[in-house]
Amino acid sequence: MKLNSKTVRWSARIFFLIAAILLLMAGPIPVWILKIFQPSESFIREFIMLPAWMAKIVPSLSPLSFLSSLETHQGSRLIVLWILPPAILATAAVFKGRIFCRWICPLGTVYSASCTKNFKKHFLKKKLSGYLFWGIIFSSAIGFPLFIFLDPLSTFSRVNLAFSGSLTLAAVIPGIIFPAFLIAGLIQPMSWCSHFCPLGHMFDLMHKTNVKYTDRFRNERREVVTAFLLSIPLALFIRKNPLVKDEDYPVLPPGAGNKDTFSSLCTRCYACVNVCPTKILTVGFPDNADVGRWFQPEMNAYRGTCQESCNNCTQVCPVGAIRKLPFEEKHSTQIGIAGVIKSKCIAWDQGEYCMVCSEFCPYVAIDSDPSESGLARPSVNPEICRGCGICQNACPVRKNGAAIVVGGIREQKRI
Amino acid sequence: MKNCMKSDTAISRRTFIKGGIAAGILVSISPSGIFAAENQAPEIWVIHGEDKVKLMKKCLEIINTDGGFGKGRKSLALKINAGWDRTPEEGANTHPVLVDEFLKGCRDVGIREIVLPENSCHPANKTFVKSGIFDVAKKNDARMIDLGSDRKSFVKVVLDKGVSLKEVEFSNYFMESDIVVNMPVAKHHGGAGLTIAMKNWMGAVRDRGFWHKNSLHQCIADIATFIKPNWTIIDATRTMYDSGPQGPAKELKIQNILIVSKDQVAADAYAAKTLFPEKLYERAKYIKIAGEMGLGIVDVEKMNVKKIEV
Repeated sequence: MKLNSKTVRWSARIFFLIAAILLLMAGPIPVWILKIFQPSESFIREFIMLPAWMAKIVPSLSPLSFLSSLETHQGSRLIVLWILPPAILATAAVFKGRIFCRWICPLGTVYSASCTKNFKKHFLKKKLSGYLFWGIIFSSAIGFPLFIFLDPLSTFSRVNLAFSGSLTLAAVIPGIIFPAFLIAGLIQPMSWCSHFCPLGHMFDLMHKTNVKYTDRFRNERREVVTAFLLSIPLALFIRKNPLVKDEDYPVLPPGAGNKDTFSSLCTRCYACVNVCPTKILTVGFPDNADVGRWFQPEMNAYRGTCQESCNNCTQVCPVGAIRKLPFEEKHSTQIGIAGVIKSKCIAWDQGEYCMVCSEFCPYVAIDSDPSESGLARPSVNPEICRGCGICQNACPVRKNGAAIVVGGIREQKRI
Repeated sequence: MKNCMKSDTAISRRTFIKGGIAAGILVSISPSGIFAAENQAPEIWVIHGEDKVKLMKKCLEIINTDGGFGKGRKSLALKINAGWDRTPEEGANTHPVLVDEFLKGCRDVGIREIVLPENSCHPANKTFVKSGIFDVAKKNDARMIDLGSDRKSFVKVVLDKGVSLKEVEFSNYFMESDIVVNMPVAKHHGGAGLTIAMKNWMGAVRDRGFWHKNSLHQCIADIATFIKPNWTIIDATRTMYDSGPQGPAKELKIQNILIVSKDQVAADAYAAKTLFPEKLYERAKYIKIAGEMGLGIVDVEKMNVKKIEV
């Protein structure tokens, strides 16, 4: 009988794991996977198994990231429908504790399957999950959730970076949490789930047992106080970082609004990066003082272009950091403005006819500013430019970057 | 550079011979073996009619009565224009109905292998599908090739007669095929004034940027010294008069015309002169340059034009 219940549980876990993996593959299937099935094809048509929005299902299950985003932005961007799955999980936790961890969590399944044989060395003495959980709760309240990227479902979604063709140098670092604890689990079993997972801690805390909630809170006072004292100043510092220049804006995915909202809300689950068909959306490299921006999804027009007829990334955000934009609204949303670098431009600098940027621009945003001899030279109309990056991508100048580059704007707006 | 070397060493025997042609060694058996002598009055067929199927049927009839594609030729490379993420009606790409009918006609005369290589401007997964050409190619069992992701297929060729463009990495598919047909769409072009036949070869090279940096018009004329398609079929069923090459155009003129010729330079000149406003013809300087270089006759008066109504 005992064996039987174990089989049932493992069947369920594997079922949910496969479902989670399939959901991660929502949106356009990576070309290298399609190539396995049609090796002789020279052109592989975009294939969508599951609609792109399904990529948000796994990361949006988490009651923790839901709670955190609710705190951060008072839920103004959350759609009512998406309250349901985390609410169900939270209710289940009240009665059954970590039932989600034991039956559903894809990360938990992988970790417990991988550590059946281990060294049983307890090198981690202290549980950090409580500190992390309270850190998230307090820092969210002041508008900058600090450790929300440690949400296990975001971590799991992030793994897909390696398979969706989005793996860049910057993406390796946030992506490393999953394999790191896979190895840690071989030494000390389930080290992530028992010692780090803030979501697991939340479930434990909610579980209705003989111990009263007030007593439980008292037992945790060390975690609560430490998290309070550390996370609030840290979150405040990152949010109002004096080292950050005010005019330094990244190009964000359409629907992100402005840098402040986006940087704080984003849980770094990278669902948007994974569903981007051209891979213009990539993981931002931590090369500036703006810590809040580190590893957030940003547009890099050298990698691709933001297509006119695509709104994939706006459909998948589990926490509403990217607002859902219908096609029409996406088409008319300005996410950045291109600027011609005259000292590099073939027309401005060398007096040669070029205008490739104007040729490629789908919005007719590049005007001709003729020289005295009548040579057409590009100039961007900032009223029309959407910041899609196709000009930067197509510019024939490549020495230390293109001669036309998209720059970020303070606030995305509709044109 | 490394890539060039790699593709050079990986050249097959056949490519080697044709690469030689490119360098002007074996001109007599070039893919344009049945190409009319350049000095004669070039023949231009201008087919007018509303039904695109009928237009292409007539075009195939002309090709087949005029020597066809040559005897024993089994493979064909068709250069269409599928560069832009636009619908067929917008006139940025070759019309799929024409492509469909052409491919059917090729199958009827026994051509076994047909490839449609294209280095598109917008991402191929959008343009190939939205242009409608991928579907008709698939229907006719022809292979559409995204040159953008098939970098290995480019071969470095030397253009002896080139002025600006002395070396170019050109798609091997055109050199490996027995027959080469160019089926561009005629339209306004922001950069080159007009884009018709010769300009369409920019979608068969690897580095377009070089052309823009080194006098575009001269480069377009230079490429015509190397690649000489057996037939050029210009889709002028609808022509953009502005906002080219991708549109959407403010003025999209419905002309219902198909221009067929063995001489791409003459076809370009005829289409530019007769289908577009004088101002745009003047801007397409590469036509005059090609004429001056002796690549073909660009004076419409000297052409043997046959107008056909279907």
